Amino acid sequence: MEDKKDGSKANIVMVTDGASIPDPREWRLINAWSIALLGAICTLCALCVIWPEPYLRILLYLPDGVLITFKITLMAICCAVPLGLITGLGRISRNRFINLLASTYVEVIRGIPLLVQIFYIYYALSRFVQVSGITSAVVAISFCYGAYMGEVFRAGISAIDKGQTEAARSLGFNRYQTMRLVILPQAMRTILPPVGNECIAMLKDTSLVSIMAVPDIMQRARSFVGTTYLYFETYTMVALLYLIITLLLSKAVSIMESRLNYYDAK
Amino acid sequence: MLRYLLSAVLSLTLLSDQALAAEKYVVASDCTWPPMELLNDEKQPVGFDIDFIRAVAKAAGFEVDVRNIAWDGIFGGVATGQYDIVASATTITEERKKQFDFSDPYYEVAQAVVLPAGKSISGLQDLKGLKVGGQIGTTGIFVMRKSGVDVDLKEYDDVGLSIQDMMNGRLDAVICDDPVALYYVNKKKDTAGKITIALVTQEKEYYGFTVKKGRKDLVEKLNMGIKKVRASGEEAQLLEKWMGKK
Amino acid sequence: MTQSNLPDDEAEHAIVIDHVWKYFGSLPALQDVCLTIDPGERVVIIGPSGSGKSTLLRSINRLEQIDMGSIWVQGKDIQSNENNINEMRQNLGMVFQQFNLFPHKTVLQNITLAPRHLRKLSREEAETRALALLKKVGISDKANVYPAMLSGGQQQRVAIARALAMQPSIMLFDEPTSALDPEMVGEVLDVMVGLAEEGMTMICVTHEMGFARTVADRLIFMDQGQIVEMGKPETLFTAPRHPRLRQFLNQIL
Repeated sequence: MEDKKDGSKANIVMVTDGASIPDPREWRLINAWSIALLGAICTLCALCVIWPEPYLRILLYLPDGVLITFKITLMAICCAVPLGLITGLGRISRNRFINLLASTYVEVIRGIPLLVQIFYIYYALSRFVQVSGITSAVVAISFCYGAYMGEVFRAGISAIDKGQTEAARSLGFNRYQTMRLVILPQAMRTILPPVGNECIAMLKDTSLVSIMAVPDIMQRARSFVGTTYLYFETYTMVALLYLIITLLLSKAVSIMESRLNYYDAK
Repeated sequence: MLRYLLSAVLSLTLLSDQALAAEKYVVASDCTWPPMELLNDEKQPVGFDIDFIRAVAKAAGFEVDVRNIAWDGIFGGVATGQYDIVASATTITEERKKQFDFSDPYYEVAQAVVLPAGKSISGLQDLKGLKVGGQIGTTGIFVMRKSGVDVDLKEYDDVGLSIQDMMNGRLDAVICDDPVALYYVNKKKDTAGKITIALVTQEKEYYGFTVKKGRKDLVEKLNMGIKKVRASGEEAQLLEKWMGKK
Repeated sequence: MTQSNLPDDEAEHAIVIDHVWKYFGSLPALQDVCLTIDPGERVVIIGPSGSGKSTLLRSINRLEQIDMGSIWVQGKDIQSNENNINEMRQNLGMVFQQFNLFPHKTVLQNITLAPRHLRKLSREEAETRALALLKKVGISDKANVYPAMLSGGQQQRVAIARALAMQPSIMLFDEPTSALDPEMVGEVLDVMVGLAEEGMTMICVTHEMGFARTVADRLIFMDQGQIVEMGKPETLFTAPRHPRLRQFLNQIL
């Protein structure tokens, strides 16, 4: 019911809690992004060079955690993006049942904190199925972000001018062809920055899975702290590491975004 | 306005200083380590350590306020002065001694390997290739690492979660302090009888109270209290209360 | 009369609109409209805004669902489930006021998209046809640019070429020049006049009275969802019978 009134809001694709995507048209050398990245890298290097003990030791302790973090993020993206697309399409579907199903899913998931979902899937579902820590982390994060991305996809799709659908349908394309050939390729452009944002937020949220004994960056750090008690030093390195990763990813999203702008008037 | 604010802050600081003068120390304990420390039904910290530090405080003439603090980060809090004493089944280790000061040892433990009932091992090397769980930053994890046996080590926030995961089949074994293992094997309703202690390490460890590096005064008070509690026979009573008869 | 098809003698008509009603909420947009259009006929619909003329046009290819009555295109009921509306639409070219070109496709891709996917033409064949159509609408040199780089008039000519690429037998024009700057109206109308001269069946909603006068076989004046007056353009322009048409012509001319 909300969808019909949505017309006025349709052009707003909301910004989320991920790192902010740099504006692709921003080519000046000094901007927030470059300062943050340069600052983070310089601090990291300086710490490791000036005090190799303990900073270099910490840095060398973390890489396998970085791999796990990337692995979980990548797998979760592979599940969450299609899930988000399906949910978004479900939310705009005219089929009442599908629409209700998708909307309920979004409502339920959005109302439960990710940490609770992770715990729930890991411990509660283990009564029925045995899944490893990484699998349940991926499942929980995908389910959670699938719902958020569903909203992004819905907003992105409904932001496309109705005339596009009408033009395609008047040529004789059916609903599915219209969506695939005309609407989605255009929606991708509005959708990409917020989806990229969600993916970056997702990478950050993978730090929650350390509670399930999954050895990601955060768990590696905590394990290191558990033996050395170097709280400040270790979490400084962890923060810098996450920062550098998310800054690089947000740049990647921004580059992809500018590639999608090819058809604008120059 | 600023002046009022300043004076308010100042008087608050003075008040808290006075509180220190009255010798009330804040004690941190991670209440997930039964029977050493756990939460009772009223969510209050109880356990051997809690009773023991209270007895020690009484004997040494200071007061304590026991708080439940998560293990992961418990040492960080004492280092930054958020509380004065960690009384949380803390083994005195060389690594920890570099960063903190400890009281005299007050309890002897060893590491126990817990397996699902009916399984057995003859040594740590039998765990090779298996999934072994423990609580993050505890000596069980350190012992497993130092043993050099190639296991898939899973570090949990709470030893209870690792026991739970072993019951669910996600883990093959759990390593923890032997009093804790005994509690789960014998006393805790939903785990008793389903799991077994397969191995207890030869090497002994000793619990001590942890304080910030340089708090010699506090260490002395704690040591004095420990001696008095021992001499008075109160320690024996507490041991019987929490560990049963040996 | 069968459920989904008209009997043969009636099926000769290009379009039959039979007692059609359409409501937007409780507002009637079309009230009991009846209209028959023959193959090759050029019909121009005029009327004040909100008179239902665009709604009527959009009802013909079911972009608007009618509430009562029926519409047959070449003898087939457009509302019947037995007739595939997507196939029927391939035979009904439509040109919109806002062009509605696909901005993410080049001009050539805009024109070849439907023939390639729906008529299963090979790329070469579709492109050969598309280039011929671009030549016909006079913008052969813009085949590989994106719509955003074209002027409004050029975009609308591409839109006409896109509709023609499906080789429809009927063309629907929904105020094709209303969104254009005045200096570009001529180039689009020229293309439409050319089409009319080839004998295309055309229904055109427009405010261009000059075009209506020269091209229309029949002029229809709509107001308040009804066909008020209908006939030869000269008759309507020179001797309007209905006061509402007279008022409309006074305002517009």
